[in-house]
Amino acid sequence: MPKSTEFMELVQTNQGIIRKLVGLYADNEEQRKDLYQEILLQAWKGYPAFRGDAKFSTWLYRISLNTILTSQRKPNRIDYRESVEEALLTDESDPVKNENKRMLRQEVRRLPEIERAIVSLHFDGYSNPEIAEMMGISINNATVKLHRIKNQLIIQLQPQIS
Amino acid sequence: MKDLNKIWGQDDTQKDVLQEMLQNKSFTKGSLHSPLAKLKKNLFIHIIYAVVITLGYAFVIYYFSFWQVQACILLLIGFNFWAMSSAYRLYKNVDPDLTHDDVLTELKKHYFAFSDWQKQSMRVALFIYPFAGAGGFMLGGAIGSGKTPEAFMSDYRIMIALGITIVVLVPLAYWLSKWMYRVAFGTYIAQLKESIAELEREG
Repeated sequence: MPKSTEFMELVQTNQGIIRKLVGLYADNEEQRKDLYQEILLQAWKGYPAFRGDAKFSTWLYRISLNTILTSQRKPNRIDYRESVEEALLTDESDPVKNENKRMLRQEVRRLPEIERAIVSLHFDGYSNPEIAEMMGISINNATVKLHRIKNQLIIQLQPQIS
Repeated sequence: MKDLNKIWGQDDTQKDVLQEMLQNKSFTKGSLHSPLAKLKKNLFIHIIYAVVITLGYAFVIYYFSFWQVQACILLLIGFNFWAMSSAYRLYKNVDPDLTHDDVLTELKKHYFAFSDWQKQSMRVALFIYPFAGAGGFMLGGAIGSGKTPEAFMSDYRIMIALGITIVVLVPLAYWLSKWMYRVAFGTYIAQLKESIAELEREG
């Protein structure tokens, strides 16, 4: 299979990672588009060096985070309104689940950038050692940070989530 | 509240511009726009400008045979060569590839690339401005008055005017460049610094 076809298939399968992360950081449609473009291009150019030591999803996650956190964005205007992406998320079959998800996403979007990244990795199933490795911090630091962020989220969401 | 992971885990299925990009592979034709890629491009332009300006200086040295002006300009050329070589070294070392390192390393790589570049440029500029000011002053005075720089500068009032020009011009140019740098990269540097501090802060 040609490398490009293989790459496209892998990204297609894992596009949820990019979409979810960009949705947590982009403030508007233009920023979202720019980040998508940059992440895909970084991944495309870096793919020949991808040796498969890590899972593709982990590799893509790291590239997405690196791209987002080092991108030159306008001053962080915290927009508490739903993002366009989240507004489109209307799972009419289960409005309660959908509402819970929207509220969780909204609370995560209120967190500082680094905390957003850490908690997002955790929710996406990465272990504390994996989070520590991806972020470049100690396992202990990752564990403590995560514990604090989750507690904070629980306090914020406790009265709201059904 | 143990269900935060479960709530988060519900999959996103909506389509947006990402899907379009993947379908038509439009991203493969672009070039990187990451800040380091931009810095690299800026450095390249910086080098080109330095070459053009150095050629301009060489022309002035050749055309105006006032040794005082030539001495100032020779110093400027020397600084230009130094600036070009350091910009080239930085250009070679800047790697806009974000696929290898962890987040903290990448943030630091970007932060230091920009802040080191700024410090270096500002230091060089501080040395250059007085000579540039003096050279320009003497050349302009000599051409304007139709005298040689010795004759033009022999009046003590002109010497005072030169002193004032340098004293006013150097800090002004320094602060102007600092302000321009802050406008161009200040927010970005602050954002990187904040993220690095956040990561390094123990839990």
